[in-house]
Amino acid sequence: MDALSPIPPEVANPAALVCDADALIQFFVAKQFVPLQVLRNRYGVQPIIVPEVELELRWTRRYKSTFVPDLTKALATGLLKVCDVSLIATLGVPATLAATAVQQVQDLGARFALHGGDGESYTHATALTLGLPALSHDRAALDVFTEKGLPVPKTVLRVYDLIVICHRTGVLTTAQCEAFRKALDAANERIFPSVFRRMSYANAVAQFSPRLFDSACAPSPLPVPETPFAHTIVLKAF
Amino acid sequence: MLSRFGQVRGERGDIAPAIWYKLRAAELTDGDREFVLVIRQLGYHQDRLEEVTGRRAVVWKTFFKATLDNTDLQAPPREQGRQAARIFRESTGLAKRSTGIGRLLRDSLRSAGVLVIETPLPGSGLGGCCFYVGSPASNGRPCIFANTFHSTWYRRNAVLTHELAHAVFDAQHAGASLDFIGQREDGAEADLAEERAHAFAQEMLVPREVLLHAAQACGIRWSAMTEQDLALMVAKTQVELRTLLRAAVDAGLLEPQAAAEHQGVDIALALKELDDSALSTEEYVRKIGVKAEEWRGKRTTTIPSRKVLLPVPYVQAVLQAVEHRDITPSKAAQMLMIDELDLEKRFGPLFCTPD
Repeated sequence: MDALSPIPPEVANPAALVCDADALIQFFVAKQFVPLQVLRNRYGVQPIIVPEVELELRWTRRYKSTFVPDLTKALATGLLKVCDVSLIATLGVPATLAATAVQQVQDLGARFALHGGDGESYTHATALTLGLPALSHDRAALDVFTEKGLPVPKTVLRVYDLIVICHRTGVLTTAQCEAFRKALDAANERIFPSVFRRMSYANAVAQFSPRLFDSACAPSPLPVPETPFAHTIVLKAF
Repeated sequence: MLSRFGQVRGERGDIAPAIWYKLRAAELTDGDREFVLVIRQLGYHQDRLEEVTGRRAVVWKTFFKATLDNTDLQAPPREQGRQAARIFRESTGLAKRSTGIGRLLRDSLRSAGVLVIETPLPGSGLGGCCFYVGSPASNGRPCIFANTFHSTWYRRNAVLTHELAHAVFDAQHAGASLDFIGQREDGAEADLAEERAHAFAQEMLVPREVLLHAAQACGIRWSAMTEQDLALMVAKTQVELRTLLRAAVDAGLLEPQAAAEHQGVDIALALKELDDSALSTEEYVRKIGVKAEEWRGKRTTTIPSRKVLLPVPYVQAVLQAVEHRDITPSKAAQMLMIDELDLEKRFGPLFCTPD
């Protein structure tokens, strides 16, 4: 694509965001679920996880089963939903094709899983099959998949894409965003992009290139994606 | 569990995989069962690793078929084992050497596509096992395992070839073959499969021509063997003393009574002087120094309930696959059966994730 041509924004809000464990864990660590609530309630984007990610969230060697109460609550309230045939049927896929889509996810996921971990593999396979964005911090995985000639979702968001959109729309204050950053830092979580590791939220955000915008404050033209998975999404609030 | 998914219904005989029956064996402890599952998992990961790195060989199918097709399955089990070993040695080119094959065995099998795993299982009675990774009918591969805990390299050569026999003859139908330390391999208590596997291992490692060649090369007289002679013969043939003596008796080179007397001779010290393979891990680490130290604490699994020490070449292959971008760090962690955090702590510089 010509580097100077403006990128047309995504016109419709995606029905869902497929979340990987490494990124979701950071919301659980900081106990900050507002960005997920905003996605669902303000933009109608349902955060979803694949069963492999649910397993990873239920027990990690590092955090053990710490997240189980919050995860159970999130699943019970519908803040998070596990991707299955019935859920796919609610995401705009005709009911008759839902089973086929699940099979496609399994097939593609198995191809990804030759090279990647189960969570990331089935997350990207689901996002690709259903044409949805993904939320994942595993940049190394995306590089491997791309190098192996595997397709990757057009948009892979990072946790800070969600934090920043909440900040820019006034849902989260700078202090709350800084508290989030500090909570991750204190837990020794890997922070992406690294600019948020090196400096305060207020300073880092000025150097951050978001991939997610609210239509009310989206730049024009949109930034040119640096990688095949860095396309920008503009969300319209209900 | 399978019936929960609605894929299969019925009684145990309809749904339980073949290995389930093996794992019910009374001589297995819960620890053994867990170890068997971890080893099977390791075999599966090793198979996947070779697939993504393009090193998956299938020559074993030809070797196994040639061996099975040319073995008279109506012959007595020991004769079957000997026939099969001779054919296997011929097909793999190992028969070209009239010296011991212990040092070539693993590489030869691996390059043919057989998965070979050796790792210590402390406290387990399992000496070796053999199973198929995936279905043999489709794209399955044989995997043989030897427990290195309190076992010598010479002993493991026999264990691996014994398991190889099970891979050729039995494991495809039996789901898995499990052998226990101290289990009788021949004689009245042994069944057909064990007796055949035992004869196969002996003929693979020390056929008559190897015995004769080694004795001649070392200037040894069978009728007057000293402690040093015995150590020399073990170093040359690369098999444990027990197998060597049994083979010499079967070949008519040694009287059973003399073999029984030699069996009690302690050759450990003399052997260590002759061959590095006789050194214990600690002794070997001391001898080669810092190179081995680099691996200390980096090979232990942390995810399975039973910790296993992974073989160095396997860990190296996984790390190399990450460097070559064949697999992601998460996949590497999965293959090494550790958490991603452990992966970063142990091999940090490899995993500097870009923004």
